[in-house]
Amino acid sequence: MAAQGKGLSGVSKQLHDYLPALVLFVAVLLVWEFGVALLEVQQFLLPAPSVIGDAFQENLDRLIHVGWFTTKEALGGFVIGCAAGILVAFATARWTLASETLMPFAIAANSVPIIAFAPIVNNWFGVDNPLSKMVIVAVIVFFPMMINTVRGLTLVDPAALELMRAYAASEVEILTKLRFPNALPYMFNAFKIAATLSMIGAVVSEYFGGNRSALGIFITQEAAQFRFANAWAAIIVASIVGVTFYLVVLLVERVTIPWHSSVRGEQAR
Amino acid sequence: MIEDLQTAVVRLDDVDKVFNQGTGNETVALKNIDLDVRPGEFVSIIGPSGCGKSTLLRLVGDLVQPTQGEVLVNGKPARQARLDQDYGIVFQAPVLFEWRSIINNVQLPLELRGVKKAQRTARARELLGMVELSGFEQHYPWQLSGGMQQRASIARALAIQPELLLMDEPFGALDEMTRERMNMELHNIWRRTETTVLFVTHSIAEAVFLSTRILVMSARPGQIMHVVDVDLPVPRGEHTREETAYFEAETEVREWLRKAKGYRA
Amino acid sequence: MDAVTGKQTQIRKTQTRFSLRPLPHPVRQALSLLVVFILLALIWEGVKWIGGDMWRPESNPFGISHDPPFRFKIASDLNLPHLWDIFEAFGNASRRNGPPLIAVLFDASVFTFREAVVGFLLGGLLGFILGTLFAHVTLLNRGCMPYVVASQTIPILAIAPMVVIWLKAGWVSVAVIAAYLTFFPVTINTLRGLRSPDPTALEMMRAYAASRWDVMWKLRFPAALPYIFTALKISATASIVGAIIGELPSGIRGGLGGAILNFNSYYISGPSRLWATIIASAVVGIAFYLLVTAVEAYILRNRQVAGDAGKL
Repeated sequence: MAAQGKGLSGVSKQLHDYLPALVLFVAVLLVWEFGVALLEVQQFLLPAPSVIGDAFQENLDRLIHVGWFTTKEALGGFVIGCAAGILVAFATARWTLASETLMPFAIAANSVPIIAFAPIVNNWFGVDNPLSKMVIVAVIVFFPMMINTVRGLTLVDPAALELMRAYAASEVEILTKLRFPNALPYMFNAFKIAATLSMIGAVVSEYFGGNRSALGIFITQEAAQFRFANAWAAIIVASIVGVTFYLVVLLVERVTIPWHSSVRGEQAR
Repeated sequence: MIEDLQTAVVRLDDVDKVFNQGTGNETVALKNIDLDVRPGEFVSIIGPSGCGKSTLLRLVGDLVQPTQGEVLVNGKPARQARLDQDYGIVFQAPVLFEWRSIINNVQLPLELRGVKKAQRTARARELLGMVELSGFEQHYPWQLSGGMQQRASIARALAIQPELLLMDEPFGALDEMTRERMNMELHNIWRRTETTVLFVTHSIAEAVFLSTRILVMSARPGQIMHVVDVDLPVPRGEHTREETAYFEAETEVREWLRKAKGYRA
Repeated sequence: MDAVTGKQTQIRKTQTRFSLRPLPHPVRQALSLLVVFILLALIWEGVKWIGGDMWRPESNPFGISHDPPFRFKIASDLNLPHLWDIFEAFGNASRRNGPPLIAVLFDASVFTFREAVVGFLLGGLLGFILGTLFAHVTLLNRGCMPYVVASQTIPILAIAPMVVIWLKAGWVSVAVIAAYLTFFPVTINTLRGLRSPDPTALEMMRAYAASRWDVMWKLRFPAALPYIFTALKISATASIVGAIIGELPSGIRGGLGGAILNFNSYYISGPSRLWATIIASAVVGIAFYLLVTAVEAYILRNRQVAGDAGKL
């Protein structure tokens, strides 16, 4: 019921919600800046925020260039992995037996450190080829996507299923009108996981070699040459892209499933 | 009772239902059920919990299949009747889809029937008016109280203008006052639509107030122990609850329920 | 017969929850495991049959000679070794006069597993403490939560070198990196789990004048356990990934991450060794996951639905 008053007090309420986070942000920056100066922390241990800021400005063009390159890899992997995960989930959820047999394997496969495959995939498609990073990202993203979608399609209220059967709904209608909408919140959870995983996956897989204009390569090179401020600036770029990616998914979720409790906020308790 | 086969809306002929047959935890839910429901009747099924009331209702709706015997709805096998959408159903929980607005929830059965959009919207509006939910068309289920949600689910059950309405303890989760009001509303809807109703409940007052006939069931294995005919004039209202015939019927049901094994009043 | 099986599937469909735990019959499960593995192996060798390199009779156990009609780059002996070659690699020495690869990989697995477990425990504890704090102090929750989420968008590999400099190169710093990946799911699900009890249950505790401490340990924590285990299962995997990744830039060569780097640089001369290492990593990841699942099954053995609460 609390959600009903929403919208009226929009701006001030939002400010109230985010104020503690903002205050903390400023406080941490200040402590970091002066702490580093006071304790005379070495550059290579932890550069001060102002130094990172300078590095950020100096390398802005290069950072945008490498950041965009890796973002494309992450996006490509996200799309391929999510599409494949959803497809397989729909295919297996169609047959109860198939999904019950395959789910334990999918869950087990999800606990395989996929990143270990990065060097192999590099060999397959070429170290410089963005496709090899996309494939790794896609595989990382695939399992959470598939597992969550199968869950959403199968964890349906039995009474709702009975209702659909009482009205002689066909299998297709049950899928489109009940299972699919039921799965949407689960799928958005997976999209959110996939959003952050895809950027991390792309950067990390670049560690095993990659195009010179990639963010991960930039970070390792700068760190290897003890230009840590530059490395930190690049880390912040990766983080910004990841957060943006996550927020976009959040926004789409808000538009797509406004009815779900995760969107309309905590239910009145 | 002599029944005309053709006019029976629901007909059960020596029906048994055994769950988990052939496994370790075999349970006989229903035994030797014979039942005829004539058009326009309001038949309540009452009995101790776990006696198979809901199973009986689900047999009629072809949501479970009998182990033995035959279930006919409108003279055809229950399965065919379900595929023809011959009945509407209301569960104890409203079972509204949280992703659909109230009006879209009410429209669902019409959608499954392939009714055109304009037509089904008009029908849904009309029904929401009937259950006094006008103005809540665009609300989502979570914005409505429990009683309002259940009214919406009744509207949904009525959407296809069914000749038969199956209700499984529809007001079980509501408070006494809301329940009495809903009973009144359901009675009026029944009168106006002349629908046949099969109604599962564990409230004696509710059963007597609404029904033309009450089936009292025994504890597991569920059997129909006794049939109480309720000869209260229609339309019924607040005055009905004060009539002698009302008390007599209540007493009769209560006494038979006591005989049902496992019933603790 | 048909009627009975039909009824059973019907009953299964009407059950409230889709079972994510292993199938009821262990035999059937073992069988399906076997079938899936055989299928995967068939696909693998099938690809090699269609588009791999020449099959020489002396180098495969069946003595088959076969010239695949196509030559896919992916399916070459370098990029996709024959399964028997990979299994053979386990038995061969990884370097001249060294112990067999399987012994090397076993040591590496134990090494990485140790880092992961320590990281898992550190991260799990940190996550639990943070979740508990956030559940009780709203201001802290609102102030810190966005950064906890943001922390997961930082590629750990990038901060790993710095962690290694801070804590000196050694398995402890790798454990810290593993903990960084571990704490997040536990934080989120501890918070959700501690908030999960029914409001009436909370009111009942208040009615008995239970202290905050009692409410925490007698109601909130038990209610949160299924949520926490869900997170721990995710964290088990994450800690292995974290340990492998943490080894890469820190110059630690005793574990699986080191082995991957090592065999990757000698890939041309022996691709099977890298594949064998990947299989070892997969086994360690799955084993840790199963270990946590087993602990969960034991601790939550009396709960109605374990294992499916608060999916992330």
